[in-house]
Amino acid sequence: MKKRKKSNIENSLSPDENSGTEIRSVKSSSGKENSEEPIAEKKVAAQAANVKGQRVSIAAKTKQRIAKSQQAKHPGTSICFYFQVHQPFRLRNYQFHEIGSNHFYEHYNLNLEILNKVADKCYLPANEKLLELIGKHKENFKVAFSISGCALEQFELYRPDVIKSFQKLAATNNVEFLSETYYHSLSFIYSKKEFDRQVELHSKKIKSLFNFEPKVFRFTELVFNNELAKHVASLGYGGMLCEGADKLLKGRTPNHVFRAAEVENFSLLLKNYSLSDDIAFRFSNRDWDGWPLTADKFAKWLHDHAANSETINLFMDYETFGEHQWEETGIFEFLDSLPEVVLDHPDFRFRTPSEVIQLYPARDIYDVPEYSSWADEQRDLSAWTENEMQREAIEKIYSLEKLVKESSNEDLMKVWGKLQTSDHYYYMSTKFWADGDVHKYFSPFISPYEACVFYMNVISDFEISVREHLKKDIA
Amino acid sequence: MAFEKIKVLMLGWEFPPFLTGGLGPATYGLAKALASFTDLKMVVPKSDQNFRMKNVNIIGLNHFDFDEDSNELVLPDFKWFLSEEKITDEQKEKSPEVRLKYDGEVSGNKLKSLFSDADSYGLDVMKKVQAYTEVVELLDEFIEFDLIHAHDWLTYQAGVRLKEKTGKPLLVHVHSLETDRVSAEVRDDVYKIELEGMTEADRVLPVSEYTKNSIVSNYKIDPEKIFPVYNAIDAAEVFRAERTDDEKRVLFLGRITRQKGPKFLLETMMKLCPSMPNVKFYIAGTGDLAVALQEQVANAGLNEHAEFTGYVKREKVLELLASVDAFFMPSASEPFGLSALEAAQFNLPCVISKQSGVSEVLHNVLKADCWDTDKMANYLYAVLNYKGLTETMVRLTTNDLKNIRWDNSAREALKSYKHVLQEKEKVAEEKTDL
Repeated sequence: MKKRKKSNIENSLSPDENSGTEIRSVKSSSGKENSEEPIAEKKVAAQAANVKGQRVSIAAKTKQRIAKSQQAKHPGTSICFYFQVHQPFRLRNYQFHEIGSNHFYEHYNLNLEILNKVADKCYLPANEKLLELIGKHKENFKVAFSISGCALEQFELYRPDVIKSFQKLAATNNVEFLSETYYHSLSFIYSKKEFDRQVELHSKKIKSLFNFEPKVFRFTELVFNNELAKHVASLGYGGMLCEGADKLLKGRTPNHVFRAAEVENFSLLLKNYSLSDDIAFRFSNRDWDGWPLTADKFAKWLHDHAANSETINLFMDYETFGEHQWEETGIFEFLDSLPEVVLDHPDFRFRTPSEVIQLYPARDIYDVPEYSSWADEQRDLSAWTENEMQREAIEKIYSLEKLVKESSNEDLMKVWGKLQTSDHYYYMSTKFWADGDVHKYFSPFISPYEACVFYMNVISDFEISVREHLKKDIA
Repeated sequence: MAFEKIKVLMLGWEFPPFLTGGLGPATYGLAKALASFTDLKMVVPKSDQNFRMKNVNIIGLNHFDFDEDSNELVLPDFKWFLSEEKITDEQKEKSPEVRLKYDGEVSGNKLKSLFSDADSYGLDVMKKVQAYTEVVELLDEFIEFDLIHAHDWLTYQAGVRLKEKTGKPLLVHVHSLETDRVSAEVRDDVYKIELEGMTEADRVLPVSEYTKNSIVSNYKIDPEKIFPVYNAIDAAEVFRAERTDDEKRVLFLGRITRQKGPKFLLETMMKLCPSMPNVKFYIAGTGDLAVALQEQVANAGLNEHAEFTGYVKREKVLELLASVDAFFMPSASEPFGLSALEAAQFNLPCVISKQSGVSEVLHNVLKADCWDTDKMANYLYAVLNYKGLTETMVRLTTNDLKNIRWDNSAREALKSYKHVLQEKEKVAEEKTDL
């Protein structure tokens, strides 16, 4: 891990090389002009220095002043947190003999149970913690969320208190909501029309619940390629989030704003997977040489990048807090202390993706001809589309597009959307199954084969429903 | 010692070219793979002189004659007992005839006909077992060996007697158990023979973990001395008989006895067939429940969905494997289930019972408890209707099969050989020390 961080530093561009670069003008979520930003930043920096000044030695103060004067024109380093919130509508063990007669597909009890568990262990306590931190650090602490439509619908159905809690966060204006496909789907790959429909649906939902218009996009599982960037730019977004994959960075640091290869003025924020995964995956791993990970230690790792990083993008599942990493691991204490120790460094601020995009020019091109994602070592689509059953399932569901849209039946459209959720295909992945090791297989089903059997049974019935509906219409 | 091959005296029952069940092919597969690691002699009741194996001396007791005058068993040529290179010039000059004094309880005159019987089991199987035991017990006079490896209860008594007589370590191989064949509660003579064999053995080699668990729970044998040696399959050229009809064919292959789960087959058919008018079950095999099953199928109105083939010869088995769409094995208790490996080799999606040893090595087949016929029906429906599912299962099963080779099984057996010989040496050393 450490080695990779070092090489990132070595390979990154020094700020001096780029000091003459103009900050690009991009669409801003708040509508503010970009030119205002550096001034605001300076003020904030000065405030932070004052607060901190009481605790640092004179020598350190001098050092800081020198550093500050050197970087006077530079907005320092941003820590950009983005948390993914998603819960699929999991399917039940739908039997073949129900095909044609039972149109209820979801595992109501399981979905309710999981939602309750995650709401209580993660969403509510983590939101409360963030609210507290925003109250404490004001403008200096900001985060972004991407919440799928499936998750929002389930909150509305079963846990409206979670919606309220997110609304409180939204009201602070320190939280950005990102745009994604409503059903957390891979639709862009199979139907651009359906992709557009879901993006719009999601934006409307975010607007109605949080009075927020998303300006930055992220696609399911950080799936990305040049073509997608071009398309998303054409929808009016200023930038999007993606994985900082080694094979694509080729030794470059992910800690700058990049731009997409085939489109002008479209910024990309790349996940620093090493630092992100330190929190998301390794936090409680006692075999990891970084364990135990304290806020001080992690802040130091971040500060080590100060000289040559403009933004460190920490992207992760929100369920990291309290669900993937249990409360007992100390993850909430970590979150609680982190902003303060990170902000101890005068050049560090927490900023939202929109702010980062406005603040820094793109330093380089991130050229991604083939699809990449944030999943597994391969960082590609193989977790969803590698085997024959996944491909058959996906092809089948998108082959129904014409029929479903012909029906123009709201309910059928909704069901069709929910069946596009990428999790269904993930459960069918045999990448970590081939040797029969169930411990590596995370799914509500006992095997990828069961996941396939029940999904295929469901869409067999769904197809019948759609066809029957169309017949009725004609009649 | 380090470079000398371990001399194994293997006691088998069913052996090619005379095959009835799964015991013969499994004994043969293991022997063939062990032949390159060991010096192997295989004693079976009946052998065909035309059937030869590289590096394995096959000794068929049916080739012994009985000399009433001298009460001796006579084998025409001692070379049967010895590896070619071991035959000394002196021996070559002597008469090749081998004579063994025989005074067993089974009359010497009857031996030849008993061992030549076409049916390896039959009604007088107990008599045959006794005769086999009495003859095998004499063989140490002519055969040099380091250890005894006995396959299934039929040969255990012979193994135990030889061990008592010679002090050589005994390993018993468990291909199936009376508690599988009859019921978990059975305590008949066969059970007692199995119990004695496993108790006296230095190591017990069952064909699966599943069988190991049965041995522990039904025979109370110390699990510490039980080491599974999985059955395997040789790589083979497979073919596919193209069909143009739209029938969906499911193959049930095996004896139609309680153990093979005909009851679960019927239940599954009753659940699946109403939803799939074009499904047809090919039921290949005979057994004590065949007639009953046929009647039940008829009573359930499923005649159109079933084809009873009766006993099928090898060629017909291959033909079936090449032409059906899925393989179904709902066994109530299956120590291994070699036919599932064969079906997998023929690129068939397999739906098999969890109460089987083969389910431990095939990770990409669909498995359910034998009694969970809802699930079995659901799985069969899926493999017959969802092409992607079948393709993934078959592709990954092909990978699994690469690791299910007799060479691997032979290595496992060899580990146990080495272990029991080392243990024996240790004991001998301790005695010398005293």
